[in-house]
Amino acid sequence: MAEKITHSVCVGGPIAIHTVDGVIRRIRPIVFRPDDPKGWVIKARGQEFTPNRKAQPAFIALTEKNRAYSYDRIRYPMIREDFAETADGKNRNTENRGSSGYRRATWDEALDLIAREIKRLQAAYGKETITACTGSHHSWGLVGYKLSTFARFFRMLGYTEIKDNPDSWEGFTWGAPHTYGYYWRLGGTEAFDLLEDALQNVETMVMWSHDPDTTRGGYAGNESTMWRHWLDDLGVQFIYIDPYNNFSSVKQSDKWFGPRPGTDAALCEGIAHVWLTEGLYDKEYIAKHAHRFDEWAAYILGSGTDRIAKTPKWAESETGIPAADIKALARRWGTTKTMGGSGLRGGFGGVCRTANGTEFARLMVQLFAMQGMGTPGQNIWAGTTGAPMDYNFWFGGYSDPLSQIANQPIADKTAVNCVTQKLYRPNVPDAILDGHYEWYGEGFCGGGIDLEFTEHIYPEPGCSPVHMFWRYGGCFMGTMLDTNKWVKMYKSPELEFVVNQDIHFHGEARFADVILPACTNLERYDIGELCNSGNGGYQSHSQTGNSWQVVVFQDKAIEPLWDSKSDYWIFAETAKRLGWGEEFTEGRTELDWCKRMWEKSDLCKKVSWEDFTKKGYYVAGVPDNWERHPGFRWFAEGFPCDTPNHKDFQEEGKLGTFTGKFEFVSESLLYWAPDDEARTPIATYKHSWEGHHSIKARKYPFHLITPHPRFDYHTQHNSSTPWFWEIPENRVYINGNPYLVARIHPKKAAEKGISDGDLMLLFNERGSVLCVARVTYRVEENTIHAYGSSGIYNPVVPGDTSMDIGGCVNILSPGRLIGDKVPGMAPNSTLLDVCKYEGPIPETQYFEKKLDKVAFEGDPDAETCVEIIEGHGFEKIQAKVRAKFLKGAAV
Amino acid sequence: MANMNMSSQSSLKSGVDKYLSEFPGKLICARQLWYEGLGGQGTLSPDELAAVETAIESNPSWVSAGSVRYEKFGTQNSFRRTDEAPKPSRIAVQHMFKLNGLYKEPDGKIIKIVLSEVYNLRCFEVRDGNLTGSMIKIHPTSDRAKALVEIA
Repeated sequence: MAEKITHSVCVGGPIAIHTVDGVIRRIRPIVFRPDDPKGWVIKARGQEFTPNRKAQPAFIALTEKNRAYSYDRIRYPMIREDFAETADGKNRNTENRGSSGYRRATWDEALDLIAREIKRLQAAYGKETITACTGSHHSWGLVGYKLSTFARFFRMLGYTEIKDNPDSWEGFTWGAPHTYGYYWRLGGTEAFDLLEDALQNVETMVMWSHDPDTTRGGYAGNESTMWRHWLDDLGVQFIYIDPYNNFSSVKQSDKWFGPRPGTDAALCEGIAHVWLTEGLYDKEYIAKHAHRFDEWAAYILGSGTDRIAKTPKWAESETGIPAADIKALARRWGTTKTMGGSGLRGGFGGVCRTANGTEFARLMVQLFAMQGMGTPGQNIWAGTTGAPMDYNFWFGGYSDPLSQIANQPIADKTAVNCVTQKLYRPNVPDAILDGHYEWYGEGFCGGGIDLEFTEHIYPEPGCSPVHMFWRYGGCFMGTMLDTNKWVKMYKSPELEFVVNQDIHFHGEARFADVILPACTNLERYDIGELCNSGNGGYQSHSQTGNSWQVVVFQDKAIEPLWDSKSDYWIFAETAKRLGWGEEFTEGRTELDWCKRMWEKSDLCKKVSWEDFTKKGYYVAGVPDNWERHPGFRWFAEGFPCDTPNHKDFQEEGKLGTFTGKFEFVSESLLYWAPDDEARTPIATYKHSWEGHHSIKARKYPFHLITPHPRFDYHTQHNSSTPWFWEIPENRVYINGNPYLVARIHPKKAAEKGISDGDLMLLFNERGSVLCVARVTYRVEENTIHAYGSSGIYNPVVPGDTSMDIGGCVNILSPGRLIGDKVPGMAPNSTLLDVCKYEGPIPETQYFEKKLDKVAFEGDPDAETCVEIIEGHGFEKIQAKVRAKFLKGAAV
Repeated sequence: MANMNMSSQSSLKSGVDKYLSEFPGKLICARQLWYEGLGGQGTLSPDELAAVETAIESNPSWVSAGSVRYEKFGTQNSFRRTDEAPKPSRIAVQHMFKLNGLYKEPDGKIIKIVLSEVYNLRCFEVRDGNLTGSMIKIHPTSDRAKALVEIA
């Protein structure tokens, strides 16, 4: 018996993997060795704070074993049974996509078919006829990540790029820059060194639409959990504002406020009214740093065009929060040193994913400005970032162009896409089905305020529409808008050829003509840093969400299972068939690319390649007297910006707005979009286009909120980790199907005759989703809460837009974007109704049987999906892999 | 609307000249100057824009630079400084090196700044148009940084 310990890093953090005889036995956190650097020490209020000497991944990371051997692993290349390879791309039975079965194919058969189709389509329509899109987080690692290998392949091929939208924090990206700049940080603020500031100074934390124990600071696992406990121990008061009394709130809050969804901007205005009338704000700071404050104040006090004073009583009528509570909140905030924010890094909260999301984001920034943002203890800081860090050590993150194999200096030659036509992710189905789409902006881009207003049209003049779609990882049924549109799109003959490349059989794979099995990052080589999302149109220095800066050599723990292959191998083999394999690889293996990342970063100056790969990780220490540059202090105190990732104008002491100040009347909106009704020059609370004031609310009285999930990461771990289905707050396994839990207030449940544990149907005109009811006072009375990002999509009539029992609640969300010129999605502005479900309970997951059939083609003794889910099949797989490993070892 | 009388050419010119004399950058457009230097609010009319541009053009230290894209304002008619920019009144560790700028070292080596942080300029050597070798780290206040010459 030979035990091997390797290391990896995933969306839940870094892990050590113990394999025995070629089989994963155990996954655990990395515990640092005595020769690793010591942790930083923060002195505050007579105490010293230092982190534990181990990386602290999220629990999802510790289930990678379950995910690797999951029942829904795509085991073999597959071709749709009734796919007909016609010469003109017509008559391919596209209407059967979603219901057809599959047959097993060899890699040669599948990749040869793909290469033939690419050549045919490009010859017939031009390069732009192919489009491709990834899920947000296929696998962690700089080589395998979507911006690296995927980008290299498709840029070399030439394709219609699909621009991502910032779907986790739309309102902050499209709103906040018009108040305080930071468009290059996608609207998010700078949190450098604010952990120390908070420990030393803060008295109140306002956690608005924020559940840090659930969203974990992005990719930082549980690294920051201890920091919030420290603040608790110091007596800091925590106030949580969320229609759902979320998990962090239940654990920690001194007070929970549950506003009606979509009315948070009204709460902001009610707070501002108290401050203005009672003088509870920093007048000197505002006089120095704010632009057109008086006009906004007049609006709040009732002298604006609507002549309505935004009193706490007025705010109560919108939010449902008693006026007395709003006053108490405002007074506490206005009289104590207060930090806070919305969502995981200070702006990434679900409240920003509403019809009113931009206005909330702007108002929240304005509230913090009124209290002297940047002075000690007063800042946007949400308790998840801002740890000490050695900025003299650089290793790239996934969005850094410098750390992608698509670009120099990692590659010898940069891959450049020759196609200018683009699509926009939330509206891909509209474009394909209607043959026309127009939108503003560059999506997920921190390149400038001006780029929010670029105009796009599809098809671009002179370009062909798209006829081939290559999907790579994840499930948009669970993450995008009005997602039955995606079903209709896939069944359209306009899409002559569809490829899906994924590790697991997420709900979207069933619409493909060819399915390619990728392996997990435990089955291949890669390299990556914990929580480093890079600085390419993203928030830089996200590693300050960790207590430790850790770069991991992602060693191959086990061989790829079944016929799965690494993403790199799949793209390299396809490129070879297209005649440019050597140009794609530049003669490098995946391990060679990993070494390039080491060689082109500071890592090569710190540790040899041999020592790094042998040990498996490197910890960058923090010097004893690290340089402190607290976020926004430069602006508050009026000196040139000294924080990382800044712009030239900040060196002149200015913000990234037109005037360089906090703009309470936005000059950039007056200039770029003066007629924009969703995002007015003065940020104001506006009734949601789908909310409690809508006529539709008479028919669909409940408001659905679908926050980022607690028990998985986007769609990862959702379908593929059945261990999590045993958590009653997550899913309930009935008749072979894991039903998603949806939460409803007891009063409303009683009115509907729904009891805890009943099957509850969520429905509106866009579709229906069957869930299990959790009846709880933790949810605001008008709200239904169900986590978004379901990786399981299981319509009871396959291939049809029928009732889903997989939990894709985004089926119910509106397809509309926040505004005509605000291309953000608003899934938390969804109205619906619920009822107790008394129809027949479907048996098992429909597609399991189709997967079983293909598995039996590959191995008559194969384990069925149900056997794997229920445990004994899982053991059987491991036994087979072990026997194969030992046989190989013996040879 | 601005904080000064835009119809008075002399007051406009003195306001523009005053701001330009303090402005530490090398490139400016009328719109930026209007918002930052003249307290501009709302929409700048074409006549006002022309008046500000005329005032900048008449300043001997500034020449036309054609159309340049600004991240805030988009593409604007711009002006470039011809004399030495005033030093910021208070220095931390700031620098005015340009991200993605090309610079020549005293030994003739050409480097490109690929990351520009407070703490370090991070560069790669450029040979035949390609980024080569290992990452070079230069502190922006070091002698090595001071010896770099920008390649226009």
